[in-house]
Amino acid sequence: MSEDSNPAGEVTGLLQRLRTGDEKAADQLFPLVYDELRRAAQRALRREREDHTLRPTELVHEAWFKLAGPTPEPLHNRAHFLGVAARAMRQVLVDHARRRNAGKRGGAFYHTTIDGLAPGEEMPSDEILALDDALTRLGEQAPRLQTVVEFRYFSGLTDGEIGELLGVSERTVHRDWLKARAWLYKELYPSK
Amino acid sequence: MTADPRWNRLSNLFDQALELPEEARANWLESACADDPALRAEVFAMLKAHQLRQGILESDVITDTRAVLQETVSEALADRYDVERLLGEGGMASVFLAHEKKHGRRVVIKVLKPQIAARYGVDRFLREVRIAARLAHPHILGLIDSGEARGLLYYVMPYVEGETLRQRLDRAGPLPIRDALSLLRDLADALAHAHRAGVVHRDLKPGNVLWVGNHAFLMDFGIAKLVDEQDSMELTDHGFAVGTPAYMPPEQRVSDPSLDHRADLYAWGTLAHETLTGRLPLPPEKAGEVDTGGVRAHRLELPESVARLVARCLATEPSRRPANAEEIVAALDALGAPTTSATPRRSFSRLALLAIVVVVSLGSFAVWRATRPPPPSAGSLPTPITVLGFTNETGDPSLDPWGRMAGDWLTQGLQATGLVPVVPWPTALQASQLLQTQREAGRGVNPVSFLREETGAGTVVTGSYYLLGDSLQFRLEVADAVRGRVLGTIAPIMTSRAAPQAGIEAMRDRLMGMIALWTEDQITHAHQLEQRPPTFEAYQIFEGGAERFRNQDYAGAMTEYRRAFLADTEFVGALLSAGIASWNLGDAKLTDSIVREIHLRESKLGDYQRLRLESLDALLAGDGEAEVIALRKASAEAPGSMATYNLAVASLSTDRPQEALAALETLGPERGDMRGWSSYWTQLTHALHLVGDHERELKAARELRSRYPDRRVGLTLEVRALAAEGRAAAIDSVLFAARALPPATYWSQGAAMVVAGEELATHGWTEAGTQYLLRGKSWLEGQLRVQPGDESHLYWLGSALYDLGEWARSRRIFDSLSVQDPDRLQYRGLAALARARTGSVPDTLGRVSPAERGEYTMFRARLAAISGDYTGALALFGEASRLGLRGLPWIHSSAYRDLVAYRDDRRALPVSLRPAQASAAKPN
Repeated sequence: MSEDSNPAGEVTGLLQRLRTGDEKAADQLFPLVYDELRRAAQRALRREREDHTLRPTELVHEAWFKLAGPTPEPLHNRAHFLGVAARAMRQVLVDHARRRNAGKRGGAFYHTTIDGLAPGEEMPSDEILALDDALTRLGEQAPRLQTVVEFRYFSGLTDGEIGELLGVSERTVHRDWLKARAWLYKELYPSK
Repeated sequence: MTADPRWNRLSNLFDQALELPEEARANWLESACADDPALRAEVFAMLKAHQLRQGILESDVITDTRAVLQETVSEALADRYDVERLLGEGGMASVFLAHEKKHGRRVVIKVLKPQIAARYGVDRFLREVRIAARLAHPHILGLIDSGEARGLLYYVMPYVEGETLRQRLDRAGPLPIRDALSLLRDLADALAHAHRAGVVHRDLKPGNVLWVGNHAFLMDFGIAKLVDEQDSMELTDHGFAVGTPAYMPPEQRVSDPSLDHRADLYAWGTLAHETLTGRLPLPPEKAGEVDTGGVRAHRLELPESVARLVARCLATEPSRRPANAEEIVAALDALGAPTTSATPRRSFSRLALLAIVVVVSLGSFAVWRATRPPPPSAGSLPTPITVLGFTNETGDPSLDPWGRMAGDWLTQGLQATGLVPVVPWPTALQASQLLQTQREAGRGVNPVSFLREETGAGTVVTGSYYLLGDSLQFRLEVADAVRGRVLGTIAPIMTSRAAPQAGIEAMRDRLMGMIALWTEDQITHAHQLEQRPPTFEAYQIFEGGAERFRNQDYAGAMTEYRRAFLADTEFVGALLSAGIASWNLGDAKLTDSIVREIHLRESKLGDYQRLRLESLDALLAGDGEAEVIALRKASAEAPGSMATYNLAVASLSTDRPQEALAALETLGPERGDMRGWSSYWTQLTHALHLVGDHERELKAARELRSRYPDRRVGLTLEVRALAAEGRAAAIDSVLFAARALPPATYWSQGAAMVVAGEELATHGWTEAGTQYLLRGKSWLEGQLRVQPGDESHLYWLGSALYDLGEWARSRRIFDSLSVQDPDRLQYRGLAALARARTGSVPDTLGRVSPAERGEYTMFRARLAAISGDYTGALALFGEASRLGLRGLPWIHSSAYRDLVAYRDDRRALPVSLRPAQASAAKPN
């Protein structure tokens, strides 16, 4: 019995622990979610051959169904899940973008590019990587802003749901979002 | 919650500023943050960014950009205008109908497209507009308002109900003489006024003239200067037509910096011709004036003086035109009331008739043979030949791609003849664009000699195309770049605007014929010319892909290239580019399948492309030697092209650093495709490092850093150059400077420290090397505590541990990395090495694709060295270099521990693996 993997059960259990404030539950949940999201992303990419885009919130919801099982979960569990999933989704997207961009030295990456990149060689094209960098920096100064952006952009949580998760008002969340967005855009799209 | 007081202040300022109405923010910010201008600037930047309507965070939303624009414009100008609806859109701006609140009148608001606005900038726009707004004249439709709102540049004009002259001419043909003369006089008067105020219109044409109640109004004064010379818009109720260049005098077409108000006079003359006759005058030839009798031929009752006036205005030489618009006004005034009674008919002089005939047929091949200098005799046609992109004189930038396609296809045609060497298209295109930039910058450049310098061409083929109604007219000229003279032209070819391919093909055939005549040889069809130009749509998509490729957005490029191929399945060149892009993405399987598709259609490729395909085949097969051979040939075809650069990279992969250096030096950083290509410097440092010229290597690394400060790789390369000479203190200052930099993808200080450590150790500074490795290790360990699982940090830590001899830990890291990413040979290989070090027998490295053979063999070589089989290892090192691996420039330092055994006898090693001697002194 214990050999059978029962992801739905495991996830539910972890979510319950998470709701009671058990931080470790988030750490344990993260790899499960990450794996599922990664697989979902690969499936999505195979489907859309022409258009190499991923829609983060869709994938997150797909992962939710896979992991939490077919029975409808109470909303507050879902919100917690989406919170963890947001961070995992971000990681998946960043890893995906990096994987495409050779950046390390040595054979594995070098031989894959005709122009031969060196350590630190950046591929300026991936907005998601730039966003990731900027988001990390934002997080160093204002962790809650980073979280708001993650929850909203990667998981598609509403302002109200975010407020609940973070214990602040919806209005505060909205203000945070505007501020974070303005700061990020200032970094990402500097005007001449 | 952060304790950073600066952030808190920034945050509060932003919050408070948002509470205020938009126009009050700047002032409030000035006083609220008077003490800290930097902070103020940052808040201000955030406020601006706040108003961006489209960024990555909006990307999940499908936006109807038109609706968003209208909404934005409405909101932005809501205090003064009620925007009713979008009237139409041109290439440069969107035009809205609106109601002005203050005066209760209808207005037209023209909003520049963001790309255009970005190009010109707010200040310049406002300055130009201010100049134009000063003009107050009964026949100039003034600007009511202008400005910038929400990042959009706009200007406002009264909405006058009536039709433009264009519409009138289209609807009902030429004007009655009386009306025409009145209109022309009004316009001349308006021009005179403007010219006195120092403003040149530069875009006078019927579309810019309102003809209402028998009065003429000139529109868009001065604004036209802001937009691209060859694009302007007309407003109609249903849509937009685009102007023609017939109104542009020759000096404006070549962006002669000495252009002045007389350009407007030329346009006036053209407009007069059209208004009076319903037709445009013939395009000007290089020599002489246009038919003087032309206007009168159509309107016999036109006074002779007017006809002469019009003809003078149409002179190609500005000095032969009337000195100013006042002259025109005076001449028209002197007519008094025009009568409709016919003045006595004058017959054209026979001479004039003859002149017309000669002018018209001057372009034809036969005539030129009789009247131009004799063509070069066989063998003396200077080579190679360059075909440039054709200049778009239609005034419609959406037709730009035809010009490039024409250049491309003519190039291929010439190549196919096998009679003369031809400069490949990518090089020629680059040169054309450079020439354009030079011209735009107002630098007087002799096109032919410039091109000779850029492409090394002996003969230059140039051309242009015009719009005549619904047809495109192509012209072509062949010039001897060495002696600086024209050799010949081809009769203008008319072709349909919608599908000019047939015309381009015809031009190609004729050009090939000309060349054959000159080389006095038969055209030999070496292979069937199945090629035909791609469709318009496909070519445009392809160009989009090429732009992304240049920006190293290979994923985006590949998407576009594939789309281009889908749009036209004969367009095999697009597939080739897709293959290269997919290779750069690391997707060998995909590249393989694309390459197979290309092979099915090989006959459609040109020589240069075929060689690129060969090099791709070699790359996929893991055959470094074959790749180098193919690229050498391709490079010989196109010395200034990407092939030479790829040759350098392939040479570095196959242990030929000298050849790589030579190739890169041939290119130089400013020629052709290398311009703006940071990897050029990267490869240069590799080559210089491997040949031991560390002084130049350091210079190159610093060059890279200064030109591309965002590219962290420059730091790593500088560190490496310094390490090669043992300059530890200098390394420290580079790393120290790097601390202030925000983190970036796959670059970290830890990585740079490890690189420094390995490099120092390799070149003999073992002590210092170990120090850096230890520093790197502890830095990376620290990072991993915060970000466990970060692939980059893990990789570098694993490498550092291996270098330091901590085999077990290194092995655990690489084991976990290879589980996480089983496709990466590198992780499996490093794991196997670490395992060998801890004494266990390594399993095989798993399945390896042909393309990875070089890398795979390198691992086998290292394993052999670890197990003590030094002779066997030597053989494998040699084989690995022959097969080629992209990581070769790094191996001598990253594998230095495995190469220790060869310290005393390096000569047997491949050149790239020999570390240099440590020098006794340690300069800093």
